[in-house]
Amino acid sequence: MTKENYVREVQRCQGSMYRVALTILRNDDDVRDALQEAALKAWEKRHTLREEAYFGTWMTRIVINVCHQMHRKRKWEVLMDELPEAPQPFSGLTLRLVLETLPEQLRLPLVLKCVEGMSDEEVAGILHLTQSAVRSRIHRARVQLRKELGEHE
Amino acid sequence: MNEPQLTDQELKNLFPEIPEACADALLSAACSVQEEEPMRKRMSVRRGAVLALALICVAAAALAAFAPRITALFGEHYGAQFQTWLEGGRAAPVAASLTVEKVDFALTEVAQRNRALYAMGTITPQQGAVLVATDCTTEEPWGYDVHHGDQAPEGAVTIAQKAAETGAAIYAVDVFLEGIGVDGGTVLAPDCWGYDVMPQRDGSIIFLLELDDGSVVEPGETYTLEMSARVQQLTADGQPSGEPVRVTWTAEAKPAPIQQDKEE
Repeated sequence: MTKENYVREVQRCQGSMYRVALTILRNDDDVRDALQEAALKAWEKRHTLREEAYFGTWMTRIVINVCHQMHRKRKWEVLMDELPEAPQPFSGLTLRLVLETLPEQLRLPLVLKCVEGMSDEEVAGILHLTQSAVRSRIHRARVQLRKELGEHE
Repeated sequence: MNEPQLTDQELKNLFPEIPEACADALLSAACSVQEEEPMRKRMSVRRGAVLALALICVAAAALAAFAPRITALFGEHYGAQFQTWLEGGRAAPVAASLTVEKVDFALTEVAQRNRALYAMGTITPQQGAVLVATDCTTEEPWGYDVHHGDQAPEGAVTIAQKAAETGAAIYAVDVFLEGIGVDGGTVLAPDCWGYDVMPQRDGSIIFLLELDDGSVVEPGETYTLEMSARVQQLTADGQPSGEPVRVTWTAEAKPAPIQQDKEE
């Protein structure tokens, strides 16, 4: 991949990269750092991209990895019960706030599938999950969101 | 109360456009890269080493009188084509176990092909313990893998009920892949790894670890897996009780070809 192609692909995917990073990191300062790091790391790893047609999903995985590395550097655990506390307690409720109450294990598959329009297979490949686990998590995310929204309507 | 609607478009609308500062930082980083390609050359040398190792492994294939279960398990998840692909790789039984509180953890098999590494193991409760797998709750049926489509019969006891019936403590259990070493080299912390769990009828849990093709794992002869096991006691309603206990644990695997004729 030439540098020119690389820059063009990054520009094309920047919206998706931003949304995925924001889903994990939740603030723009960290997201900016993560995107820079991902852009550098992706270029170093470009030999692992087999077909340029898959640049988007390949880059998404790198963004997720970088975001998780940032989590680890801060000694955050990525388990449900150890995630940073969600905004309290639904003041000025929006769907966005409710979405943020979901643990990352549910939030990220939902965003990749429903916001980024990826297939179950692509989400499974990116998150190293089985397709059935992806479907299960998206279902649970929707159920939980609907429940929270219903309770706070 | 009406159930709120939740469309994909509503979810999409939650996200703002990428802020200018983020877009600028990203583009600036992308434009700063140097156009040179040392990686490809390095890769080809490594591939040569892989082929050499694969040939050595063929000689050791006679020792591989072992029918791996791991390929079938991943095949259940990813399909027959994937299973066939994985069966063209290498596998090994592993005997590495650890006990934390009243829970026994064991890594039982490892499979490898190209730069992908797969492992499976079991988490077994001792007497007086009932387990809750990652992402599961105490209100789910005990002994059923409902997240993979397993149907529990009506009236099946929940994990909380099972614990109450037997007077057992409830433990939430997890396994973490902390690092991978190849041929005694530096242990690398993988960026991203897959983890899946399958509750079994006897109350134990099968866990799967996965580093897919293209990961940090270089093909090699011997793999060292550094893991940690975490146990958190829960109350009947699923709330943490006390502090979690997390213990590190190492296993070594020397995979051999599963089917010689399919080995690369």
